[in-house]
Amino acid sequence: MNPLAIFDMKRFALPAGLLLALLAASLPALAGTPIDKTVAASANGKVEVSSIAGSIKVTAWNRNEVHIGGTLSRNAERLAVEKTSGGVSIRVVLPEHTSGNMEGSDLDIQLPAASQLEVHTVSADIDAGGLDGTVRLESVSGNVTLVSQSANIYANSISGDVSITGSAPNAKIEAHSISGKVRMEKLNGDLRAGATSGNIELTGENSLQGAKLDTTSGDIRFAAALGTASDYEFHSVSGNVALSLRKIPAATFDVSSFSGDIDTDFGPKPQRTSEFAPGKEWHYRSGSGNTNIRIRTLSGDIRIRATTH
Amino acid sequence: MTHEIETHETGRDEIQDPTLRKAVQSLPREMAPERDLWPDIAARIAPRGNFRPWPIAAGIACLFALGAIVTTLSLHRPQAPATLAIRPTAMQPEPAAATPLPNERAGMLAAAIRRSTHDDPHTQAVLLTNLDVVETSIARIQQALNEDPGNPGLQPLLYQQYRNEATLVAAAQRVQLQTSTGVLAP
Repeated sequence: MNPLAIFDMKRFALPAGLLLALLAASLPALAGTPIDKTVAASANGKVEVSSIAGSIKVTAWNRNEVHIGGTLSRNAERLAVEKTSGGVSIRVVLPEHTSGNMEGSDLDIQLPAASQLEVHTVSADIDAGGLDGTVRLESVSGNVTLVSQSANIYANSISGDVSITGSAPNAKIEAHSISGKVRMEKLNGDLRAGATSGNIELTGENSLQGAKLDTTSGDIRFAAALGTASDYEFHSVSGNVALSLRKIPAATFDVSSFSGDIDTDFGPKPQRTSEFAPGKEWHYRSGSGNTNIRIRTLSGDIRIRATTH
Repeated sequence: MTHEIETHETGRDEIQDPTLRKAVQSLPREMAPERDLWPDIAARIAPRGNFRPWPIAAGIACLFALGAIVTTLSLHRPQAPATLAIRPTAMQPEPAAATPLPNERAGMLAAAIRRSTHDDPHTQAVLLTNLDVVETSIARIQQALNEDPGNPGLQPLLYQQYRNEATLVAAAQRVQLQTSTGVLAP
């Protein structure tokens, strides 16, 4: 080996090593500040969480305490954890006039299962599980995911996806997204769901005592066992509506589309609304007919299937 | 095979096809109604009762009198102080706005969304794209309503789209609140 090369290596080894050591030492600072904070809470108190960016993960445990772990972003000024009259407030506080892309804080929160949880974020994803108290989750562009046995659920995102799995029996459930997908399963209760350009999907085993689903251009897929003496409404302008029913319910169907097609695998054939218009309508009464199912589209197709006839 | 039938406007009234010409010539020149219709017509166009000008003249006089009273009252009404006339424009009550045209309304909504979300371009783009989806849908539903005004299925769809417009603007305002103040509230 050229002796000059050895000399060059020795010459650069020390600065390079120092630089690496400096980088290694600064890694924790780059990653943010670890959080480990616990506060006492009542079993069914209110827990409010707010953060702009990053992620929020909430899980239930069987202690009357709220624990906050995770990492506070270096962009954040502080984590404010305060006792309020109704419970606990957790806020990631940013310096004033913060704007632009920022590194987010990742919060990992444990709380009593019956807590009334309320989470608000801008771009942070929200993931909550194991709760059975009232849940309200809202984000601007983050995804919202909830797995719970809650009796009162509200989940909303502007451009993020919304996913809800499970509910208490006879729960009141609301789910909305403007451009994201709204996916739900294992629900039991009264459902209100809406999307503008996003799709709405209710799949798997569901038992509903009423539902109102609306989209503008998104599709609606609905699979559920229907309750008696309940109302179900499905509206879409240009999205398709597909209903998969476990059996033909004792219901009155009032279905029409201005220019879309209607396809059913039971009852009479859909009729043209007019000799001169492309629209179709389908009216059918099964059994006592005391459940009302109303479907309207402008140009979206409508398909209704019953698994057992 | 074509049949040429010239109209009176062209100055000719000749039918070239002999069969058709014969058929036309066999038609009766005039047809008498089953009964005399003139008595009914005469009864309908005859003046009803005697013309009495006095009630009409009295009505016109009352209108003139009412007009004179209103004019007098308005001329003698106490005048507002001059300072009120030079109030800044912002303080003046807005004139009753005419209902904006659909395009104007969409433009106003888009401007409101842009104002509220200028710190969050991604969400702004999402909201404006979806506003476009909603406005296109409204236009299509209104066109369908023009074609089929009695269609009961269209009104709920239209109503829902107006609600969606409001939802988009409300979402923009929520973004503004959250990004400008850091306060994350419903």
